[in-house]
Amino acid sequence: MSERLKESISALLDGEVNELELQRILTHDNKQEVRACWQRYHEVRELMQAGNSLRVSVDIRSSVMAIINKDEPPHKA
Amino acid sequence: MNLTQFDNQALPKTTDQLDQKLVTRVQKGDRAAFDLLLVKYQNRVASIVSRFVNSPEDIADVTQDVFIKAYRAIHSFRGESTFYTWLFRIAINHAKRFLQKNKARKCFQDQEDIDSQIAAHNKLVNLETPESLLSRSELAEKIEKTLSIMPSDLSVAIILREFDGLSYEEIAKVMDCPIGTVRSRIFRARELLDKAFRKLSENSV
Repeated sequence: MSERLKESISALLDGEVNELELQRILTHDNKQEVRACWQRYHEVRELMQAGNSLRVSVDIRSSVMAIINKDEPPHKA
Repeated sequence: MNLTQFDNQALPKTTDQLDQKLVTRVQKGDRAAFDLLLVKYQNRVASIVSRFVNSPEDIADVTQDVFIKAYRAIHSFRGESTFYTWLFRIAINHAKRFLQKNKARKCFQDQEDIDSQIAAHNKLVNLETPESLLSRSELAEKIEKTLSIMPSDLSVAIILREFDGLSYEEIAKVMDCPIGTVRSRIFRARELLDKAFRKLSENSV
């Protein structure tokens, strides 16, 4: 399968293809390959979304507000 | 620094409107409104920064600087994009500048480098998990490791898409690049993740 088609399938996953591109994906000769690629990208998405560890947590509120509170209110340039 | 679960939902329109209201108040001098925006977005900004910066201390410092910079520049925000698009763009630019200054993270120059890094990582994974099936959380952890070794432009693009729910157009604004580049980066990131995932699946059977 061409890189171009795989990129189209990736964009389809994100709802970012036009009608013509969708048509090209759906009418591709090797439907099994298309389906397998579609499935793999979905699996990657599911795994990423299952990955709680991907989000970083910080608590910088106090330090930022301490600095900002010493500032003059922001002025229009 | 610890790691927490994230809200995976795309930002609804009402969130944009609320942000705009808060920004308008900040522009009029209301610091409490900025406090709300800070609490709301600090982890998201830190997640983006963490794609460029390694140590937890540096991530916190850079994230702090991003918010101070955003506060001081709040009058330059004119609502032409959403607040978070504007904020994430500041975060990326600031993190990149930090990276250039400190050379804190290795940049991979080409696909061959990336592939060899993933292969080396997969080898390590195999040793870590000899015969047992990997759990979903373990797999997700490995994918996070794959994300951490791919070029920042790819990992940021896929994270903005998958976790922050941004459209390609919004990501293009945040990353200051054409939509076609966003599309390509997300595709390449998925391919690298897929490759790592398949390798792990094969080795766990």
